[in-house]
Amino acid sequence: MNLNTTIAGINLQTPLVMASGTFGFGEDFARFDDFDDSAVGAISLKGTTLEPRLGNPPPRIAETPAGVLNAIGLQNPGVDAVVRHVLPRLEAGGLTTPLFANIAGETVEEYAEVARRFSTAPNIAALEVNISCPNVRHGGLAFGADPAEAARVVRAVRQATDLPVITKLSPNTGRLVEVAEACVDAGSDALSLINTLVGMVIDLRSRRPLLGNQTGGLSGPAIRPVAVAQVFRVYAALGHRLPIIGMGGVSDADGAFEIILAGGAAVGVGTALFFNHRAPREIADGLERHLADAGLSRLSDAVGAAHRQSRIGGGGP
Amino acid sequence: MDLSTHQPAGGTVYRISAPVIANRSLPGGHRRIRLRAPAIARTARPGQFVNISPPLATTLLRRPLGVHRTIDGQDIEILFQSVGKGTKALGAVGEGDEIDLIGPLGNGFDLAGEPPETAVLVAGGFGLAPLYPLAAALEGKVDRTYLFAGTEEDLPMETSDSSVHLSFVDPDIKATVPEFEAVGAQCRLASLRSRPSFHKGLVTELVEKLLDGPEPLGRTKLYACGPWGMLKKTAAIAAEHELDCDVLLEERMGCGVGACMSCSVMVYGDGGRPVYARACVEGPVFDAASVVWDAK
Repeated sequence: MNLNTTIAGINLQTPLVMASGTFGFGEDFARFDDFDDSAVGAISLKGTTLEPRLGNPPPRIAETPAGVLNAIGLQNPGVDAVVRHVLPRLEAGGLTTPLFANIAGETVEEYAEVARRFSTAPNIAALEVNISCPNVRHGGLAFGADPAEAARVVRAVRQATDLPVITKLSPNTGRLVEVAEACVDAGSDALSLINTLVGMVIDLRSRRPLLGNQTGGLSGPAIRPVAVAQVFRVYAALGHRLPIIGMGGVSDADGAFEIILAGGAAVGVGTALFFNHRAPREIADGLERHLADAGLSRLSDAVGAAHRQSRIGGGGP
Repeated sequence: MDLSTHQPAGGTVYRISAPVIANRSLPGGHRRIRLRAPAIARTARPGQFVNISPPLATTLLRRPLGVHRTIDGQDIEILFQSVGKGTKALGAVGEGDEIDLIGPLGNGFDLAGEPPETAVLVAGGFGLAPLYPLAAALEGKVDRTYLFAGTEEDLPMETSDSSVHLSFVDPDIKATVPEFEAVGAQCRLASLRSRPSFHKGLVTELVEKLLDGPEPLGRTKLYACGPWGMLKKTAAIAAEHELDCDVLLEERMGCGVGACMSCSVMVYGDGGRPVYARACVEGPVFDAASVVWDAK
């Protein structure tokens, strides 16, 4: 069965993208004696800024019903350290999986500069422009909630690089489709969605917000229906113009197939990795079964199929 | 500590469906569970932990629990208190059930260098459990080991009165932990409330009594696990006496393997600049002098 998919001209051996912030810089999960990277289509690296960032004060994580709330605050060593130390290490280690550099900034100029510096690395396949981090005071969501601001960032990054540009969108706006359209018009080659949903947990003992940042981003199975709906909406509006990497709460093949049927040409896997490092292999195997059950030989035939009137494999009214 | 590039660290991690060999109830809602996990039992070092999925998908995230004991390169024992949703479900497992866990995780105590002549272990409450494998590993390598444990509730290990006399405490203070005595540690317990055979006061007062007392100690190192305030005080005592001190920190965790950056601890990085280290990779054992104690 062929699980190949193409995102902005990049061929992925499976549609599974390890979501930014859940897979570090691609090295930590290699510690598992049985990590199967043949199921990994691409790795979106930890969000990276121009200067090193300390990140938010702890606590940074809390479990919620069927979800996880986090507020890491883009802790990262800065683009130069990643380009000089991390990326050469990955190359020397023989990693051939396409790498997406997830870039963040507080200003449009900072996004452009980070994009420029990542573009000098030989082993970055694409840039993922993070205009959707809910856990930083400046930048992040401030760009992702407004179509004009989002377009400014994407245009600047587009001009700073020859690499494919993926824009990562936030569900924390009532204007998601407008923002998505603005990013496409500004030159984005693909979209990834959704980032986490803003949430809060209050510690009943201290009677104060539990996370050091007060609010955090909700991920995990709890948000999957939100992700499916948002991917569905954005695909309906823009699916004919560019591919979508759909993500949010996918922990098994059923969830991944829902995302694909809603319009995802690829599927992000994130929080599931925290409790099941075998998720990519299990999901890839399950997707093959879903395609076989639907009588499809290629993954691309299933992308957005939920929008088409005739039901896959018949059986519907 | 150079954390600027988040150099990957740590050894091989195994995921095991570990059969429950025994599940024992201890005072204070504590439980001691023995699991068959040979790959982890063979490789785990004192201070390392496993990340456990409570049964029946009770929680989404795994729960980090220290490896209390390894047995014959076959089994591991974990000690925990059934308090939350996850640990209650875990406490209810029966013999023959299988528990999904990953490990060994974390750096563990550094036992590679020259051992001290005197090891002083300082525990607060549940912090007693992860210090046990350290005491066992130090037996025969150090001239003497002391364990001081403070608690307001029941400890996760059985206690009794010691028959061994210690010159630096009153003779009526004789509460001990037999399991630690069995691996050669001299023990005394402390509590803020009056309890028979306990030192009434902070556990760190016992440390000060030892360090200021008549016992010849030679090169001495402190090892501590417990609440932040106790660790901070222990670190201050170590600094004052110019002693090495390792602290084992227990933090909220996500992935347990270093990817998610959730379990951060503020430490002094290169040039004394504060940075966040990951308790799951750079820790959970830190040099007390590297921790920014006022960060919490």
